Amino acid sequence: MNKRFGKYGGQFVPETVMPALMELEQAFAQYKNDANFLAEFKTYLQKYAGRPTLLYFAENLTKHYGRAKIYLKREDLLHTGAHKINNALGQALLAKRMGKRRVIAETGAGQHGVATATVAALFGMECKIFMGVEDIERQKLNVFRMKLLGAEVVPVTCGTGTLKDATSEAIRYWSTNITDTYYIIGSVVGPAPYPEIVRDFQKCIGVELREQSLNEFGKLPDYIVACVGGGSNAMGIFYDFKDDAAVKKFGVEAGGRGEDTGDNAKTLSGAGRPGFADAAGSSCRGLFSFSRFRLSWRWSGTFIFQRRGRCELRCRD
Amino acid sequence: MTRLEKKLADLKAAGRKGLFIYITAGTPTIDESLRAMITAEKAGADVVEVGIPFSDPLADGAVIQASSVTALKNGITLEKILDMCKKIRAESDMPLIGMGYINNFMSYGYSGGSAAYDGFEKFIVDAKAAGMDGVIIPDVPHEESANMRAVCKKYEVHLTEFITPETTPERMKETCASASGFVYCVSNTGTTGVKKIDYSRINAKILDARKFTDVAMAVGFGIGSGGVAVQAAQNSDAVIVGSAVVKLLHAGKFDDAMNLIKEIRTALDKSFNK
Repeated sequence: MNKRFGKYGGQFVPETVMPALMELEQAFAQYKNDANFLAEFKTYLQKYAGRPTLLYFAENLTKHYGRAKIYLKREDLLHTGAHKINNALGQALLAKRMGKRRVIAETGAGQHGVATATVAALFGMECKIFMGVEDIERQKLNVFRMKLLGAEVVPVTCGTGTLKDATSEAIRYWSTNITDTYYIIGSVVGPAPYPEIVRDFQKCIGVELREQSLNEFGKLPDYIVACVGGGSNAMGIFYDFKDDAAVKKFGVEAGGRGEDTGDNAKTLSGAGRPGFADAAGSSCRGLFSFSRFRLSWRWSGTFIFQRRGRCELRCRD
Repeated sequence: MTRLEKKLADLKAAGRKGLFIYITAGTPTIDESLRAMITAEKAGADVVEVGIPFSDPLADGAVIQASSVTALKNGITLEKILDMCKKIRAESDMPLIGMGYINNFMSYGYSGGSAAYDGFEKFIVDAKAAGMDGVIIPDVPHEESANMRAVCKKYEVHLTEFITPETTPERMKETCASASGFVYCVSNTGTTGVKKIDYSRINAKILDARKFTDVAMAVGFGIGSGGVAVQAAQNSDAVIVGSAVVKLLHAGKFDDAMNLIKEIRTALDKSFNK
C-alpha cells in the first residue's frame, strides 16, 4: 500500500500503535474492493442514512445573485444531519469485519461523535467519544445526543481541552486497547491508511453529484464550492471530479475576525511550513505550538495543516 | 566507540544493570531541571534522557504531559536544551539522550519557506556539538525513519529503535538490524506512566530480539520503584525510569526524586551484581 501523497502522508505514530495500523491496512486492502462489503455499505447508505441526497435548485439564491444557477447538494438531509454518517457507516462495517467490539472517535463540534455513536448503536458496539472540555461546554446538545445513543463521552482536560487534545487522547486510548478497539477518524487526516479510508467512504457524494448533474443538465457542473474543516466533505464531493479540469473547485473556510488577525479558519493561501499533525506528515504550526493550525489542500487523499497554507496536496491515483 | 556504547560495555563487564533516568527539560524551572540531570548521575543514573517538551506528546501519560506544559510555559526551547547539555558536558561524561517528538526536530532552525525538511539534520549537528549522544523519537516508527537513520549515522549519533510486546518477529528482525546504541523495549501497550505491568511479556520479547542484535536492551514504561525495576530488568541490560521521577521533580520534591533514583540503583545492584 502506498502510504504517501507526494511528500505528505505516512505513519508518524508510536511503535505501540503500529500493530493496529498494520491490521487496519490489511483489512482495508481486503475489503475496499470486495463486492459483498461494498454492496452492504451501499445498502446502509441507501436504507439507513438516506442516500442519494437531493440536488436542490436554490431558486431564491440564484435570483438574489443573478449570476449562476446555484444548486445545493443536501448532505444535511442525511440521518444525523451531516455527511459524517457516510464515513462512520463504512468504518463501522470495517470494524465489524475485523471483529472489534468497541469503536472510539474524537470530536470537536460533535457531528462526527454523533455519527459514530449512531453507527455504534446500530451495530451493537460499545462506543467512547473523546471530546475536549471546552468543546463539551460549547456543544451541549450534541453531547446529550451522543449520551442518548449510549456512547460514553470522555472529557479531555489535557493541553488546551479542544479537538487536537481529544485526538491525542483517542490515539493514547487506542494504543492502550488495540486488540478490541477500532478508532473511527472522521477527517481526511491521521496516519495511513486513514486519509484514504475516509476519502473512499465519502466519495459517494461526488459520484452521486456527477450522475445527478448529467441527468439534470446533461453536463457536469462548472463550479463546485465546498466548505473545508477536516476536509472530509470537500474530499467527498471533489474526488470524483479530480480529472475534470473544466470543473472548477473551491474550498471555503470561515473568515472569523479577519484575514490578518490570525483568528480565522483560513487555509488556502500563503506559504506553508512542513511539519506533522495528527500523525501524518503535513504542513503545520510553529515550534511547540499547535494552536493556530490551518488546513489547506490542492488535491487528494489528505488535507494539510499549514500555518499560512498555499494549497499543496497531491493526488497519487 | 561512543560515550553510550562505552558506558553500556562497562556496565556489562561489571555485571551491572544500567539505569536510564528521563527528566523533562524545563520543569519545574529550567535551572532546577539542569540541576536534577547533574545530580541524577550522582544518585546512580548511568544515562540521562533529556526530555524535550512538546504540546502533543502522543506516547506520554498524564505526568509527562503536565510537566511538558509547565516546561513550555517556562519558555524552554531546543536551543536552551542544547545549552543545558553543554553545561552538563562541562562536568560529566555521562551519556545524554534527547527524547522528543518529530515536530520539534523538524522545526529546529526554521527560517521560512515550505520545504524546510533539513531541520532534523541541523539539530543533529548542533546536538552532537552540545554533547548529546543519541535521540529517541517516539512518534517515528521504523518504517518512517530511513532518512533520520542516515543522518544520525553520518554524525555518529544514536537513533533508538523500539520493540513492544506486540512486535511481530518479522518487524523485530528489521528494527533490530538497524538498532544503534540501545533498543527501547516498551513494556506494554499504551503510554508512559507508573502502573501495574506484567513484565514477563517484554522479557520474553527481549530474548527473541537478542537473536537479531547484540545491541543493549533497555526496558521502559511503568517503572516506579526498585522492586518493579528488578522485575523489568530480568532479561534486559537496563531500565528506564521517567514519570515516577518527573512527578516528584514537577512537585518541587527534588530530594525525594534523587532518593528514588538511589533506591532503584540499590535494588538493581543488590539483585544483579555479580
